[in-house]
Order: sequence, then structure tokens, then C-alpha cells
Amino acid sequence: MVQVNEHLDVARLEAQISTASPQDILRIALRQFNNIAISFSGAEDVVLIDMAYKIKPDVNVFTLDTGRLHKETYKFIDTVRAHYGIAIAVTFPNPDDVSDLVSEKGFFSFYENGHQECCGIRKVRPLRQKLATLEAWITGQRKDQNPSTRADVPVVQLDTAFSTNERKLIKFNPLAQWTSADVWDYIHTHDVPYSALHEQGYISIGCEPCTRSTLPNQHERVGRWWWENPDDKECGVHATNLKR
Amino acid sequence: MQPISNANAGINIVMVQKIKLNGERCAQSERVFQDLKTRNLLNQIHQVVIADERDPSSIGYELAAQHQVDNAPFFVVTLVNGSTLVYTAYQRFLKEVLHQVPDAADEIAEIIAQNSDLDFI
Repeated sequence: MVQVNEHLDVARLEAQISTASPQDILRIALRQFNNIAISFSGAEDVVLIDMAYKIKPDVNVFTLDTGRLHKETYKFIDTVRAHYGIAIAVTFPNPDDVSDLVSEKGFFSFYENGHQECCGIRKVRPLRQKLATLEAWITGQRKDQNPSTRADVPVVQLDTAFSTNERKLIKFNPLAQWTSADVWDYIHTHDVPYSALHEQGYISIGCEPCTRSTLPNQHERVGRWWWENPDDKECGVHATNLKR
Repeated sequence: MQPISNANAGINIVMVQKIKLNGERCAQSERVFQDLKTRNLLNQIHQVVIADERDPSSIGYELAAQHQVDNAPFFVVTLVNGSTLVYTAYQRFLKEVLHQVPDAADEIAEIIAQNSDLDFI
């Protein structure tokens, strides 16, 4: 069981560094925690690796291989590995879970039943296993990626999704305040390698069956799970939404 | 409030359910209620409080505002020392408060449902 840095006051730290540069946030994160890793999706979050590598060349990086990624993503992960000379730990889903899912429901059940079950097996369960070995992790989440789900993404937070009573997990989001344009400016300015999929019109990149290219000026989330309806909100208890 | 049981003497557990305009429980409140019933755990819940869409002043809405909770159902757990824990994740509540072994798939589904920002992975 890993031990959390009990002295870290997350709320105070967030207030202190909310407007800091991504590089400064990374510097603080890497100084604060030894057992910390960057989650690399194989997309434009490569900028985190570039920044972190310049601070700590042996930075820990991991990625989730769902088994359904584009071949371009696999190639890109190898490109990044070679470019920086770093190890990228690859986490896989439990083969029995995948076997049970596809044996019972086929390879494309997400088009019928929604993506949550497949994502749960191929992404979230292995992610949870990986995060259980860390004190903190670093993501490429940005506010501008999805106004409905990420508008409040802080630069550092207690990860309530994966913390337990016994083990607190801290999540750093150094790019939270950056826009897509900021990221691409950085990529071009610093000659950072990027996925070939971006040249084919892909912005947000996930699994191959659940990702599509987008048209100019379309929001990037249009390219993910486009066949699904918005969530059912019937269980919401926002009193402010009620007529008084 | 509808008292169900005082079986748990050490802590006090309040469950907040949502009632929709049509008078029925919302889907998740219904699912959780039935699961507690199936597990024979309803006697561990000391009070069931309603957030009634037909009555914005209902206690459930007041508790939701007080604890900054967005979705029903949720659980307000008051410990012996007077401190309060609020659980919006049912599977976590089952495990940590009622000491049940949750179904792993249900746990993961709940994490996805309650953390929409996980769409980045």
C-alpha cells in the first residue's frame, strides 16, 4: 500500500498554482511526489512528456492499451518511446473480462448498449489497478476539451474517483488552463512528435471504433461516441433548476 | 422523513431519494432501494429522506444543497464522534459503511457514471 504525502494541502496548492505555467506545475508535481506517473493517451498530451522529460528525464509514463487502438497510435507510442529514450509502461485489460464481454455481446456491443461497459473493462478497470500503485498521476485534461464535463478541471485535485479511505490519490492536470491552440503552438515551437492521426482530421483520439475525424470548426468531442444520446438527467437534484 | 429502523446504534445513516414530478422514484434511487432491499440491508438505513421535485423545499433538496450534492440517491452518514460523511457513490457506501463486497462491474460502472471527465482516457 502506498503512503500519501499527508502534508499536502491540495486546496491550498491548487489556489497557489492555478495560474502557473504547465511546466511549473509539472516541476512542483515531480518534486512533491516520487511515485508519480504521466498518463499518456497517445495523442497531443505528448506535450506533457516533452515538458516533464526536460525536468526529469527518467519520468514515469504509462499508457493503456485497450486492444482497440488505431495502428497509428501504437506506432506513435513507439515513436515517443524512441524520441525521448524513455520507458512507457503499458497497461492491459484483464483478458478474462474482455473474453467474457466479446463472447457474450460481440466485438461492437458499444454501438448497441453504449460505450460504458466496454470502457469499464478495457480502460477504467486497468486504470484503477495501475493507479493503485501510485501516489499521484498527471493527465492532459483541459477545460476546453469538453465544456460540459471539464469546465471545472483544476490543475491539481484529490482524485475522488480512485482514492479510497485508506489511500488518497492526487491528480495533476497541468494543461487545464491551456487551449488546443496553446498545445499545438507548443508542439510546433518545440518540434514535438505528434500522431499521424492528427493529420487525418482527428482531434480527440481514443479507441478506433469509437473515434472519428471531425470537420473544421466542429468541437473535438463530436468525434467521440457520436451515436449516443446525452445522459439521462432524471436523478439530478439541482434545486436551482426547480420552479419555486 | 420516514423512519425505517434504528438497528445501527453506532452511526446514523440517512438516505436521500429523489421523487420525480410524476410521484415515482428516479431510476437510480429505485435501483439502489431495490438493491438494499435484496441485500436485506434496509434495516441499516435509519431514515429515508425525499428530494421531491413537486416540493423544492423538501428536506432532500435542503440536504443536497447543504452538502453540494448533484444527484440522487446519496447517503449522509453521521459517525459516533459527530463528524459527517456524504456518499454519492452507492458501491463505495456499500463497501465502506455497510461492509459489503460490491460487484466489481457495478463499481466500475458507477465510477464512469459519476466521473464524466473520465471520457479523456
